[in-house]
Amino acid sequence: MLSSLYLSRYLVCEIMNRDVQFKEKNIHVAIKESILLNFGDFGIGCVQLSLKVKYHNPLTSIFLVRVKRGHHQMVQSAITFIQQINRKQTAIQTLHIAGTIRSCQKFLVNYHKKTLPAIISQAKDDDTKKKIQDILNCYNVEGAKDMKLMDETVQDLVEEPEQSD
Amino acid sequence: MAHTSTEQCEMLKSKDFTKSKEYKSKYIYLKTTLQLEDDSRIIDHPMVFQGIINEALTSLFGLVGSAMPVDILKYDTSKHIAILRIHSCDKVKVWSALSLYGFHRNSRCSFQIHQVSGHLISMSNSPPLSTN
Repeated sequence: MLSSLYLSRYLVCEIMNRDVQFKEKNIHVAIKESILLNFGDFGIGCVQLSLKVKYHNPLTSIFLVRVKRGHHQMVQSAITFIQQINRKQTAIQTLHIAGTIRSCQKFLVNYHKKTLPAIISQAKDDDTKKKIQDILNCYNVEGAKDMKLMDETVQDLVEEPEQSD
Repeated sequence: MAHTSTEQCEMLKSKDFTKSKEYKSKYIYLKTTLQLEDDSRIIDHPMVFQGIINEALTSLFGLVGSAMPVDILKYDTSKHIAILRIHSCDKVKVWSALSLYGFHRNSRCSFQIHQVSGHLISMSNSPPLSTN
């Protein structure tokens, strides 16, 4: 009974290059090319059916990849070896590996909590600083429940400091 | 610790020698030939053979697979028989890569493995099987 379960691992990855925004298709193609180059036909055969980019946020450059359970290390190292996406130089870092999408979301909430204070120091207006502090207080009290809500607030914050330049 | 002879006998009896890992050899030796469809192309130099093995490994297992060290210990240029040395942990991958290599520069080819052993000394006497 247990052998018929479809067990998978989800990798939370961040693209370090924030200047350019990529599409889900290009990321999927880049991961496949990296597996073909580094692990050959055997690697692609293991992983091709179960490989999928489940979620992608172009503004924060964070994406979620699903892999079948035994081969997540192979895909993680293939992702680390990626040099180009769509002929533009990038580097990718895996932040977290989890068994379900929900635990990935929990990790991302905590991760954004840690990185938002860094954005405060980069923000130039006092208004944006107040906004960020309000949001941080809100999340400390209740805890974010909706992935969408978190995403929208982070997107607004990422856009605003750039507009204020 | 000093054991009496009876104790030592019993310790040896209880140990299962068939499954113990200490007695597995570190390397595995393969005796192979590469047979090409058109006999006009003959491989003269062992370095060419090494290149073909590398190609077979990269096509099936990628760059990570080509990092598995395969040494040619002896290459007989008259009979085109090579003796390869592989780490025993890589045996399955290298052997499967050699078996599945079908095309070399637009001509069909196959690796024929005459003998496999964990010890090099067993390669010394037995003659190769007829390749026809």
